[in-house]
Amino acid sequence: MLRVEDITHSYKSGNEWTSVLHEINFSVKKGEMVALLGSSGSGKSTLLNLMAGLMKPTEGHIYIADQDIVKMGENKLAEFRRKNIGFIFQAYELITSLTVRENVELPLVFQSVSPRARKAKALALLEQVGIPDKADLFPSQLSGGQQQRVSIARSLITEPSVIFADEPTGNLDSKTEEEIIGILLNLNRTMKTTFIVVTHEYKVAEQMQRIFTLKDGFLVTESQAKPQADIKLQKEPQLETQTEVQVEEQIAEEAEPQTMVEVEEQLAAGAEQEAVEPVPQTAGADEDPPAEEPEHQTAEEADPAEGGKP
Amino acid sequence: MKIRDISRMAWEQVKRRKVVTGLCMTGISIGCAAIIVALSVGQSAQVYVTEQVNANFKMDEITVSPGGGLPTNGKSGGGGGGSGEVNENLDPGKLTDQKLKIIQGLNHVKAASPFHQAGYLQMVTIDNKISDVQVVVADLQKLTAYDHKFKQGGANGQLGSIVLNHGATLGLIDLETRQKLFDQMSADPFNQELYQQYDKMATVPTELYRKQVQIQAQDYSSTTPVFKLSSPLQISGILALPKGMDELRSSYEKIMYVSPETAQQLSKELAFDNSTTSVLTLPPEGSYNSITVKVDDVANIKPVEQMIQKLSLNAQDNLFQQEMLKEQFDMIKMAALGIGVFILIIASISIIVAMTMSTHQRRRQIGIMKVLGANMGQIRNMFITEAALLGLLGGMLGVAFSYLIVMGLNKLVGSAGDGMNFFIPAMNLPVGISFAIMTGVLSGIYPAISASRTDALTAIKRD
Repeated sequence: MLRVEDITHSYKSGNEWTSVLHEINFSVKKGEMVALLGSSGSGKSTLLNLMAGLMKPTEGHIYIADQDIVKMGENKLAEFRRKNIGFIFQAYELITSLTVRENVELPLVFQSVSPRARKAKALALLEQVGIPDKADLFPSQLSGGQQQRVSIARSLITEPSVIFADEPTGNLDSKTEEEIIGILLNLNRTMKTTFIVVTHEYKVAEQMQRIFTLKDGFLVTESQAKPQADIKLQKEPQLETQTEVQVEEQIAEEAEPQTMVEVEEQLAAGAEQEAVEPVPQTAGADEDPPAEEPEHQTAEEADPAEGGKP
Repeated sequence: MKIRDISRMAWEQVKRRKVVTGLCMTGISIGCAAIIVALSVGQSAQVYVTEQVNANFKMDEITVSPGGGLPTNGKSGGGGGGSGEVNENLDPGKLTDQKLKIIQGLNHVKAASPFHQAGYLQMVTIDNKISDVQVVVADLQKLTAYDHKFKQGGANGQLGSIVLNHGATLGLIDLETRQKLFDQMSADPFNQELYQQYDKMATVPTELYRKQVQIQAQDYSSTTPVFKLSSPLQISGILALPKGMDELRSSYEKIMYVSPETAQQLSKELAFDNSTTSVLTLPPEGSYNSITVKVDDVANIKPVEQMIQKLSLNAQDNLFQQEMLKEQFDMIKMAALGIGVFILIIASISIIVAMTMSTHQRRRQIGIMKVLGANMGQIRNMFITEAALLGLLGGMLGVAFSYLIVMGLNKLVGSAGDGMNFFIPAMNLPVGISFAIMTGVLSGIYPAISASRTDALTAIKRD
């Protein structure tokens, strides 16, 4: 379904080239749900952007549905993305001037699907993600969790081959995070959609079938695929939205999320985990690499999705 | 992407970004209004002047006169006897009755009738008021075919019945008063008051319908003044004041229309025994000095003229007047259009600036759309449609502005007392709106291309 072959990516900063990703190789089967785990600056978001065709790698190939997206021109890539790729953003990225339903319909608008057909599909998906009653509201009238559900519905509407989720729970509280992960897991199970979820939180990653761990641009570990039955399915998404007080109480009760150090310790302890690449220290590897135009970008500008994480 | 979806999204943006929309619309509307008003003023002036010219020179009429050629044995053109011998074989250019009938039967000819100017004579009313009139010999029944309208009565086929134009009913003054005023004006030629008084008297109307008048002729060859009065003539109809002509101007054009039979009778009655010339100049019987041909459309003037010329006759139209005017007004219209286009170019700069700003502000939105699969063409089309919509709205506002401006101009001109009326021809509206849309589209091209080239990832990350 998705194959990443010898992907290397670097950018020029002043007169020096800084490597972001080093010969990454892995593949994902159809219907799999995998996590790309890594700390800030590990290169996971860069890898996601490369796989989504939003950036071109310095070297290597990325095959989605047996087509090498690296060789595609911008318009062909746009068409390919329209038909084969769904995207879930950390900050939802809904268009504020459009209603919830119109946001969900948007990818189909670019495919010239009739208004009636796309409306029906959008409403069905909104029901599936648990917010059928919010169709005519604007994004500003929704909570963060609800907006992310809209984003999920939008990513599904074209029935893509693969959905890339970039820190889908990064802006959410723990309770809502569980709900969103639950929705994704259920969708993966019921619709057999392939998901690649970028996260820095192990407790999110561990719910996926496989985990690819990135460190300093190297793919350091690849966990064994979990049998589908072993995946801890989350409870069905709650339709009722919690009040702010309830959410705050819940957050206070919950334990601190695991840090990457703890995760790495856990991973190191795991006897059956396999190192894919050695982990050399490279200059600037601790910095978060920018996507493009690196000469004038700071690390944070280059990857704000990761830059704000603990 | 369907046109409907592109249009709807463009409309949403236009509604949402009120300041940008307002700025762009204002700029375009001024340019559009400038074009519409400039063209309309040019056309209004053209119509006004054409009407004025038409009042004097009928554009859909041809004046036909004999074509010359070999001299005839008859007394054509001279004497009042009307005894000219018609011999077409010897004078192929003669304007005969037979040729008149041929002309009347030509395609596109609405009417063809002789209008013979027989001379200037004095018209005397029963109460001894006098006025100088031009006697025109014509078929009275056909006057209405030549755009004449009867204010009172109509044409009467009886011998001795006549028709007066509106001017002939004005300024009838008794002989004594008239002579006194003329004497005063001769003695004091720079006295404006006297001239004003004369103009005032010249437009005083007299009720003449169904009244009787006489024609007075003077024998200028005699050493002592010798006058002759015709038998009474019955006024059967009075023509209305022609459109576009005022009372004072019509008072300078006093015409008495008489039938050929009445003209013959007058010629006999007013002939002086010892004079060699008649007071009325009449063409030889069976032939004419001039006929006027009315054509159904100005466009058919030239073909009809060519047919008439084939009859060895001279044909002259008044189209050269119109062509001369057209050239002048084409220049005025081009200049007006130039001014409007210049204003639109200035307006387009504001659109480019506003749209470019708008593009920059919407980089994030463009980025999202590109990630969701919008290609460069779709993004470009969305922005160009938005710009075209701004152009359309600006154009519509411009139409409203142009009507307000024209209303203001009419008030201004109306208060100045001029008879000119400004109007907006319907054709100018689509022209103005098309220019406005074109300005919108052209101004939107750069921002649209700029938007379509926005890098999706950078757009999403930077905001």
